[in-house]
Amino acid sequence: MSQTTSQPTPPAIPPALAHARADFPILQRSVHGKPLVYLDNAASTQKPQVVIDAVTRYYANENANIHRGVHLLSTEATGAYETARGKIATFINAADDSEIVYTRGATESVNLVAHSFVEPKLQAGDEILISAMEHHANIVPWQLLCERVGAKLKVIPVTDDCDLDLTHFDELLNEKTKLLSLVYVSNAIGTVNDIAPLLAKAKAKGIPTLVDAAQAIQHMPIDVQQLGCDFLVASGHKIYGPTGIGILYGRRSLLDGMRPYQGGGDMIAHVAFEGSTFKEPPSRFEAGTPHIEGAIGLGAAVDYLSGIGLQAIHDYESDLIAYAVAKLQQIEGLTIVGNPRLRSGAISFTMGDAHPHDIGTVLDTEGVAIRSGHHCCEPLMKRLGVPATARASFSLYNTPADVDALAAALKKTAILFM
Amino acid sequence: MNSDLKKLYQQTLLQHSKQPHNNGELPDAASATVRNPLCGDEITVYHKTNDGEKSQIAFTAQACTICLASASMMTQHLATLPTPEAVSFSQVFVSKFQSKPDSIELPGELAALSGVLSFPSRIRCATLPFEAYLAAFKSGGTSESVASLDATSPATQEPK
Repeated sequence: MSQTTSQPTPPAIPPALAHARADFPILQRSVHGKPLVYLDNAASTQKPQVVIDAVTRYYANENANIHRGVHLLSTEATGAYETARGKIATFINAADDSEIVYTRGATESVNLVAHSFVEPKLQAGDEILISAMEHHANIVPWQLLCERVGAKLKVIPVTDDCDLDLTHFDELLNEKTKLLSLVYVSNAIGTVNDIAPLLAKAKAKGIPTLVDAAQAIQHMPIDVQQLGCDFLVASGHKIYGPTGIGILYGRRSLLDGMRPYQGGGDMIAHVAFEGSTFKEPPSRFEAGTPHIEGAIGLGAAVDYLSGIGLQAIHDYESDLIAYAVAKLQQIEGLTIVGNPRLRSGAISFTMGDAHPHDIGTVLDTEGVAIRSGHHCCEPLMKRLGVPATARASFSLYNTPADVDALAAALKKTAILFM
Repeated sequence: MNSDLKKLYQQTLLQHSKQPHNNGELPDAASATVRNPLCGDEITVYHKTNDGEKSQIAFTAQACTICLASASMMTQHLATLPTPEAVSFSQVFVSKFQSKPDSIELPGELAALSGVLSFPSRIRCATLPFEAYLAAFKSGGTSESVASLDATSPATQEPK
């Protein structure tokens, strides 16, 4: 498209987000002598001061193990850890706090469901249904499980635009299907899947469902009861919280019937050499000393997001991405990969023969941090006919000026490689 | 343009990447394919020794500018050396870059690769062809080996 096309109008930053940038200390630093423009949020978001403070406060004032000590510090730490669980339950409208299991991240959450829920029910010839736009964490655990049991992994294809191709969905979802596990928002392309009707179809057939919300929960309001999923997974570090902490939401009636994932520590009710018994969920799935400060930090992140309001975040980010798409479309030789009906969080693109890593390096010298590569979505890249892409991914603290900086840096890249 | 960037993407390197030498398969040659799991870049290097002396080396790749240029320059340089020296040069080349020195001395056009030292995340792009050459030499036959030479490196773990 010609660069003489009229310039798109940048969205206004709403009052709820007016101070967002100032809340994130890292955004004040420079990179290679340029102001940091952080557009790698799908990989990991930056942390607001309130999250940093919450983790620091725990170490400075409350540091102790939880659920064990009778002393004050342990009591306070336990309270903070469990309070954070309640905040997360409220955040996604779980019916009860006990439906939130702390894990190391979305990947571990998927593995937990594979091991503790699906595997005991799975037999040779059974099927797990996923989509072709899953990232590796929602592919590989199922492959490993299918290999162990002799089951089959079935895949909903995607269209050239990178939406789910539901032409044969009703055949793919059949009596052999033992789980439907779908990504809500594609980390590689930004596609927002209309999953509610698909979950409803599975529910009607008695097929349990898992939603990978790792790229959705920070961008839009999520109500697990309204969504109707049985499980939902997310990572703390992608929603402004610490690394090494994530959540598994599971319907309590299902968690109750699930075997432990790991053994030891806080998941024990009673141990004897003749046999052991285990605590009720969620403790049953939280073996060992958990990531206490991570949970507390995640609770602070959820507070921060709730204070702004997910709808406000969603509306602003949608406008910002529309602006970014319009700006990138004006860059000669740039091709946006995928044209989904609804997009959130990310834009993937290529530029002629310029390798995404070369694009990423040039942008880095301009202070613009993006991701380049296959985004842990090798099957999707293969389907779309690209070995890798460059990806700009957005968050609540990004501004139209960030988009302008990206576009300017990409034009410099084009001069070098095109 | 940033001075480090100018040093990285020198004209020599850009020219080699746009029109790489010895880019193609080599029939009846030993070969090895090496992949960088970080980015998905993949290179196959073909190696054939003539009379136990100098080598014919070629490559095919799906890779970035630096990797393509490195491969192109590598095939030219190694072909001037007897095989034992080519192998030795490649081993030293890889180990030197892996130690991430402040500066590095390389012969001829390969000197253009020294710019990657300012970009630690791109060092592997420069070494990948040499790793593939060493793997091809080691394979000794036509069998293909797919290797991630440093599977424990943090660089092989990519966040989503």
